[in-house]
Amino acid sequence: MKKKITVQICTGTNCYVFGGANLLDLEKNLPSEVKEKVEVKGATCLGFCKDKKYGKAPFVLVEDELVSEADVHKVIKKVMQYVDKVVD
Amino acid sequence: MNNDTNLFIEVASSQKIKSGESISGDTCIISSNDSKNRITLILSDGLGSGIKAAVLSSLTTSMALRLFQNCGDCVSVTETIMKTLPVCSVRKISYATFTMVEIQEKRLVRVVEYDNPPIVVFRGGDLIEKEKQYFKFEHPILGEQKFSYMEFELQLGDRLICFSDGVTQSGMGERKYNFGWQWENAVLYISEVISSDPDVSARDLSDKIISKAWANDVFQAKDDITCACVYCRKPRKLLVVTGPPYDEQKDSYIAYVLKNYPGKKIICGGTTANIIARELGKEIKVDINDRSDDLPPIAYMEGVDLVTEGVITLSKLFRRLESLNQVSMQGVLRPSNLIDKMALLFLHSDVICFLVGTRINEMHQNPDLPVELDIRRNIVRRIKEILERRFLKEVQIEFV
Ligand code: FES
Repeated sequence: MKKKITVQICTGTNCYVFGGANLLDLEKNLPSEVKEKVEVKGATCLGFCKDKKYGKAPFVLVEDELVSEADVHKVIKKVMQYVDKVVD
Repeated sequence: MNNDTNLFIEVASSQKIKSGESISGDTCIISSNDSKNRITLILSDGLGSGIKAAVLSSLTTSMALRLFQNCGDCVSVTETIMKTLPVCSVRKISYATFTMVEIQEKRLVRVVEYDNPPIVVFRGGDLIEKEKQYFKFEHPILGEQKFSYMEFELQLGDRLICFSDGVTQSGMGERKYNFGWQWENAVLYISEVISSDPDVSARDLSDKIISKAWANDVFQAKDDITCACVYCRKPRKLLVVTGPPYDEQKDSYIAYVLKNYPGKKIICGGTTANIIARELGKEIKVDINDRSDDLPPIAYMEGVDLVTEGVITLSKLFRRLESLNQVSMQGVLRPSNLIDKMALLFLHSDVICFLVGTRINEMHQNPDLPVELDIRRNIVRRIKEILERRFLKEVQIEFV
């Protein structure tokens, strides 16, 4: 079996107040056939909020790709790009 | 040598209100003076129950507190109080009884007792009797009145326990204790509790005594039940590290302090946790499923008792502490809730050290922020103040 796709949701203060709180239920919102291919983790401040060049909080890392101003839709979209690559 | 940071005086009180009443007729106050070298505890039992008794006992405690704190001579202060307090001219008794315990410089104990059940003194697991002096004087209405005074040197492991007659008379009329629980049985119970848990805190001991007395009354208190305990022991310590240091060179310092701290440890702040994890080569795991209270989730790091987000969590903690008071706060705190769990870690500690990083997180000053975030330093100062004033903790703050 292939490695799961890692999604890291930043739970730092900035990301949290800018809407990261809504992302914590991401797993529930994933389409069921995708769920088992994805591992959703929390992370302490990922550091992106300290530099404007990365865009705005909240931040999510899908594998090593950064999603800024993340919301559930944006993250799922990004995850889906990876799902297509992960074929068992 | 007694007045060092290796001794801590824990004082706690608990209470059950007489069944059917909405306010307790007993009043207990615990107070320390500004320079914190003197702790005063006063427990007063107002005649009867309900509002009237509450007024009488709180009048007594507040008058006694002011006088004892500002005047050295316990005996003349007691006479003044007893002459000033209202009396019941029909029953020829005073409207309120009281016990006053004062501890100076963690060393000298002075106790004045007027008509409450006698104070109980334990040294380690043994009941000890200290000599009391009895004083008499003529009261204009009540005639001859008597009170007792004692003083002694406090030692590590000493406990003082005082209670209202709601404790000694609990269970009266029930099958088991026809004449009530009585002082001797209460003492026996205390010695059992201490022998099964020699380090039992003042907080837990007073809660236990109250619960037992309440059970004697078959969970319908027949009178107000109040207990206060003093325990002289080695301090339990808590370290709270919050915020990245102003100077990055100090990163290793905060990690070093945390690693070597002899007590419980909390990290408040993701960046702070990252710094410490990096310095100590540890891993941080955030558990996004463990959430409560609309707070960012907690994290785990080996060797640390609790890892939380920073300013939002600390602000909530402050508000929670503000909502509590000294009497029976344990009952309302639920360890399954993050803020309560944190509050319990604080309340179960005697000496609390904050290591506060002062690097400003510019994003927290961002005007677009949907909520207002307080400056870490200010929140910590407010937490320190409430822990000292209301909960008599020793709190130190070091800014880095
Ligand atoms: S708080 Fe999320 S990147 Fe800093």
